[in-house]
Amino acid sequence: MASTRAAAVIAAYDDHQRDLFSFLLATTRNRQVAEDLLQETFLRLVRETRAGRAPDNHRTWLFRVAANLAASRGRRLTVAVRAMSRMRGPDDAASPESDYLDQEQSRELDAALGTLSVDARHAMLLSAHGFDGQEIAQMIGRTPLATRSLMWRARLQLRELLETTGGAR
Amino acid sequence: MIDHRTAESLMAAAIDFPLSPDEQAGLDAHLAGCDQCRTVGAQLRRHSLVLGEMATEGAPMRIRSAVEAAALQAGATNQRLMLLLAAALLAAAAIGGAIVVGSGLLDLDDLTINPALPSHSAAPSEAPLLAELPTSGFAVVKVSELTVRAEPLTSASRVGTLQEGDIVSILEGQTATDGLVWYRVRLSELTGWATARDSSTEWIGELPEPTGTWVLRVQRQYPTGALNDVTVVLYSDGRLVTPGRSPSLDPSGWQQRRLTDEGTRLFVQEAVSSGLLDVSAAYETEPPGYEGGYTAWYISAVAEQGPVMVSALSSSEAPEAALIVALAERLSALAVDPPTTWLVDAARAPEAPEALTYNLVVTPFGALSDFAPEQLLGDADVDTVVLPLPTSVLEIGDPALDGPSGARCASLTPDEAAALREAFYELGLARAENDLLYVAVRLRWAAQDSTVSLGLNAVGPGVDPCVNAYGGTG
Repeated sequence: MASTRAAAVIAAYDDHQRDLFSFLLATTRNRQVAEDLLQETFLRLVRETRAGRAPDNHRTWLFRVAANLAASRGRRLTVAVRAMSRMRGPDDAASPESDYLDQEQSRELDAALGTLSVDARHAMLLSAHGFDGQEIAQMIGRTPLATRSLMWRARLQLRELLETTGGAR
Repeated sequence: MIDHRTAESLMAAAIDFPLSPDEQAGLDAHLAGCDQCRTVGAQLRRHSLVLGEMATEGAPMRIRSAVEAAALQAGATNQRLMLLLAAALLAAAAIGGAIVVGSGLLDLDDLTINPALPSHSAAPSEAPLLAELPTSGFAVVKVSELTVRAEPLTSASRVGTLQEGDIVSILEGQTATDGLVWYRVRLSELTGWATARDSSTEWIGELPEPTGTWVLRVQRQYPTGALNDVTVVLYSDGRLVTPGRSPSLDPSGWQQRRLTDEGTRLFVQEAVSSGLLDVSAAYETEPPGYEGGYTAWYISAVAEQGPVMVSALSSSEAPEAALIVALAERLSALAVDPPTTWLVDAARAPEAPEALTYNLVVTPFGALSDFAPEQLLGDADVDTVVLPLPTSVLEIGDPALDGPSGARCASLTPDEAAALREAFYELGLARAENDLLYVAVRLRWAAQDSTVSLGLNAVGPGVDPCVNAYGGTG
């Protein structure tokens, strides 16, 4: 890879790793997995860039790949016993998996997000990272109409949870 | 006039999508006379802002190092030059990290206790030594955080951090400076000097004898990111010790350790040749749109004393690819014929199926781990449906081929599969875009206060069965 391409990848890493890592932590709730997926995301960027397919918009591309990897991993994690032991309720926010969240508000949000489906959670988190509905629809692979429905339902569900638990002050 | 529920949904939708003029007019008219909905709207907007304020943190520096190495390595014509450049960049990164900390921004990777700086820093240089470690082989980290430095000096630049339970390779030792005993150690891509002990405290110690049966999941990283060469130690009684990061936080007891190709090869070779592995299934996948790209191998194996799962991910362009592919082929040659249509990973029922009552609960897109059963059953908003489960689902498959933790790879009959798929499509759980259907299914029943779950990975027509496709819609 020409050094300018390598530099572009590294610059993209420095620009976006923090947001991406936070996104992956929030959606996977597992530091090890989030780290793995972050690395995987950027190694794919290395590949794309080397193949001359550097994305026009690094941020959008990176979030889309990260979201897909996270969703894809979620689908793989259906082996019964492992998945069963990962079940957790809203009260489990203090478990080691979520130790990155040290604020009460974040815990409540984390717990509330955990009640959403993977796509709905991704949509909420992507919105929090500044993407609009159209972009999110593309990133999670749904139609804008379906995404709009997914997102307003998710927002109402979050409101329900946060207002009843007294969170999100 | 729209009702409250519609008004709420429109206000929620408006956060992410523009409303049509009609919708906006209807909403405005409703809000003009409804204090309650205006309050809800304010709450919705506030929550959306709060989401954006969730705690953020940067990734550990070693991921940056791996990305850098991959970016610089790939296609490099002058590897020596590139390695020098990489080293320079790593050094720059380390300096950059220090600056970030100095400026007050938190970088969790640097928030480590540094046992290499004891309070009695004026200790004499001739410290009496505790038992020496061998100068090769493995040792275990015994403190929560242990700094690794470029040289055996407390003033030397730090190159990384070890965690309690990390099993490191001893490369060189021992060297005593400032009353501290140092060893040069390696953990994955991290190599450097770490303090093993002073006169009274031991920070790195001998590997304890393994206890119990270990369940090991070997997860290969992208070859381009692997700069390590880790060896696997396989104990003849089936207990495994591998160098690598300490066991992950996975509460199910799965432990993850990172291996190189050589490590993976040794591990599987040892395991297969010793007869401890009975390979039950191997799947190959390739992400869509990645011609000649990465190939992921998922190999489930059952060891005599416990289940083992090997997930290998290789690139056909990488020099190590041939090794991994050969390995996977060797393993898959031992594998059973794949099921015909649908792949089911199911926990074996502890009781006879006919003694149980059960339902099939479907959640979209593998969200299995994210829901408590009560939520699934009670909340229609999460696309929940309860289907009658064909008894044959529990009876198919060969118990001798049960995978990790009693998981079973088995197939449904075409009729059962068709019924399920029809239900899934009705629920809108399929992604028509790539003709793949991913559904997580939880089987739940009450039997002696135990809950047993079942995972179903379903793929649409035209896709090789028993393949857990990798790429999603990307």
